[in-house]
Amino acid sequence: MARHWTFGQKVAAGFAASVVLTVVVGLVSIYALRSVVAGKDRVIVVDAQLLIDAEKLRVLAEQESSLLRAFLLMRDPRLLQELEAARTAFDAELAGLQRRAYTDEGQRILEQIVSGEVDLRRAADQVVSLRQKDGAPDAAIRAFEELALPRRQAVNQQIDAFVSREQTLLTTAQQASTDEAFAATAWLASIVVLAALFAAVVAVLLTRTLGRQIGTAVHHVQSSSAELQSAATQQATGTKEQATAVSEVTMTINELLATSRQIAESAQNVARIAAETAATARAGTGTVEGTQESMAAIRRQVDVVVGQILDLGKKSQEIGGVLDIVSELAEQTNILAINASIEAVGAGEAGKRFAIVADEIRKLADRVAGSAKDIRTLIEDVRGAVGRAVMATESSSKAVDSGSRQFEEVNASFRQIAGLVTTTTEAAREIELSTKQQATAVEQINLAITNVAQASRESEASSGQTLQTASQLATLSRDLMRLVQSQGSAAA
Amino acid sequence: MTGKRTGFADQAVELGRAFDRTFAQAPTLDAGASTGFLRVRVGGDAYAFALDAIVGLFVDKAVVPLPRAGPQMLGIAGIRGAIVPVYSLRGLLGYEVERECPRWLVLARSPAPVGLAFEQFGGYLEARPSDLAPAPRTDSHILGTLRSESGPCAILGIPSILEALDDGRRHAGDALKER
Repeated sequence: MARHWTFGQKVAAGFAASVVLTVVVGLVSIYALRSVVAGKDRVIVVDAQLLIDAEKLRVLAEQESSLLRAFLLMRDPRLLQELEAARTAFDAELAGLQRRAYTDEGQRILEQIVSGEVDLRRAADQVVSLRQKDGAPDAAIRAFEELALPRRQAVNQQIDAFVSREQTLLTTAQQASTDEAFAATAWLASIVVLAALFAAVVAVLLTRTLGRQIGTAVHHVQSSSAELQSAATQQATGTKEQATAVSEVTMTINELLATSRQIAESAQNVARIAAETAATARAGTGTVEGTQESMAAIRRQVDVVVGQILDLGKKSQEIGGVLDIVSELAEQTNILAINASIEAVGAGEAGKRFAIVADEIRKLADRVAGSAKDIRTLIEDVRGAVGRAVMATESSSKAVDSGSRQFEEVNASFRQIAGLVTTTTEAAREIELSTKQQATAVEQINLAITNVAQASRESEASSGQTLQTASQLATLSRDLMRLVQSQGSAAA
Repeated sequence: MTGKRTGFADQAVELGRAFDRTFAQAPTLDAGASTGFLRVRVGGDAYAFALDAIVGLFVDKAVVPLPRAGPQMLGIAGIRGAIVPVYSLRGLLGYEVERECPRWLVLARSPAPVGLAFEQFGGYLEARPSDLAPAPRTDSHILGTLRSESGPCAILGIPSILEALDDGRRHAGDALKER
C-alpha cells in the first residue's frame, strides 16, 4: 500500500507523523505544565496562603497582646477599642484558616488555638477589668503576667505549631510540585527524544524512498527531456514544414478565391444563358407545336396522296386490262394477217396482191403488238412506280407519324428542357450564392490560415523555447540527480 | 414521261399513217424476191415453217385429248369446221413430249389436215434466197437453215414430218391388226 503512495502523500504522512508527535509533545507539555502549575498553585494559593494567614494570625495575636499591655499601661479606652478590633480581625483570620485548613492535624491545632484564645480573652478581660477598677497598673500588670501572659504564650505556641505545621506542608507541597515538574520534564524529554528519533527515522525513510522515487523520476525526466528535445526538434522541423505548407495553402486559397469569384461570374453567366435558353425552349415548344399541326396537315395530305396513288394504280390496272385486250387483238390481227398471207400464198398468183395487204396488216399488227408491249412495259413501270410511290407514301406516312411522335417527344423534351433549364437557372443561382458564400468562407479561411501561419511562427518560436526548456530541464534533472543521489549512484 | 408520251403518240400516229399507206400505195408485185416463214421455238431451239407448207396459224385452240392415243398425239381440235388431229411438234422432232397442250399450232398443208402444236411463236419472217442454206443431211425433217436478225433457225420440212407421222400410224395400225 505504501509503495503506491505518492511523493506528496509520503511527505504529508511524514509531516503528519511529526505533527502528531508535536501534538503529543504539546499535550504532554500542557499536561505537565498544568500539573506543575496546579501543584504550584496549590502550594502558593493554599499552603503559602495558610502560612501567611498563620503569620498574620501571629501578628494579630501579638497586636492584641501589645494593645492589652498598652491599655494596662495607659488605661486609654481607645486602646480597648483597638483591642476589640484586633480580636475581631483575629477571629476573622482564624475562621478563614479553619475554612481553608485541609488536614485534620491543622484543624485540631486551630481548635486548640480557638479554645486557648477564649481562655486568653477571658483572662485578658479580667485584667482589663482590674485595670479599669484599680487605678494602679501594677496589679493589673501582675494579673496580666499571671493570668494572661501564660495563656498568650500557649496560644502563641499553638500558632507557632500551626505555622510550623503549615511550613512543613508548604515544603512538602513544594517538593511534590517540584517532583511532579521533574517527572513531567522527564516525560516530556522522553517523548521529545522519541519524537526526534521517530522524525529521524521518518526523515531517513522519506529521504531514501523519495530519493529513489525522485531519482527514478529524474531519470524519467531526463529521458523525457531527451524525448522532449527530440520532439521539440521534430516540432520545430514540422512547424517549419507547416509554415511552408501554410504558405502554399495560402497561395492555393488565394487561387481558390479567384476561382470562386470566376465561378460566381460563370454561374451568373450560366443563369443568364439558362434564362435565355428557357425562353428559347419555350419558343421551340411553340415552334414544335406549330410543326406538329403542320405534320398533321401533311399526314392528311399524305393520306389524300396515297388514295390518289392507289386510284392511279387501279387506273393503271384498268389500262393494263384494256391493253391486254389490245394486245390480244393485235395478236389475233397478226394471226389473221399471217393466215391471210398463208391463204394468199396458197392462192398463187391471184393472191399476191392480197398477200401484200395481208403483209401490211401483219406488219401493222406487229407494230401494234410491239407498241402494246411497250405500253405494257410502261404500265408495269407505272404500276411499279405506283407501288413504290404507295410504299414511299406509306413510308412517308409512317415517317410523318414517326415525325409526329418525335415532335411530340421533342415537344416533351422541350418542356423537359424548359423545366431543366429552370432548374438549371435556380441551381446556377444557388451556385452563384453558394460560390459567393464560399468566397466569403474562403476569405475567412484565408484569414484563419493567416492566423495559423502566425500560430505556426509562434509555434516555431515556442518549439525553440521548448527545445531550450528541454535542455534546461535536462540540466536541471542532472543537477537534481546529483542533489538526490550520491556521486557514485548518480554516476551509476 | 412527257417525252415518252410524245413518243407513243407519234408512234400511234405513225401506225395510223402506215395503215392508211397500206391502202393508198399501189401494190408492188415482187413475189419472187422473198419467201415467208413462221418462226417458232420448240424445245428451246429455233425452227421455221414455210408459209406454203401450212394452211393456217392458230392460237388457244381447244384440244381434246383422246384415249389410247399415241404419245405424240395431243388430241383433236375443231378448226375451220373440221376435226383435226393435233400432234406435239416436240414429240415429232424427238424432244420429250410436254405434259400440257401447247398454246400455238399450225395446220399442215396436206390432203388430210394435221395440226402441229408448239410452245412459242416467234413471228413472221421474210427471207431472200441469199438467207437460205440447204441442209447437210436429207434424212431428217430439216430442209435447211434460215438466217435472220434474231438468229439462225432450222426450216422444218412438213412433208417429211407428215410422212413420218403416216409411217408411225401405219406401224400402229399393223400392230393393232396383229393383235
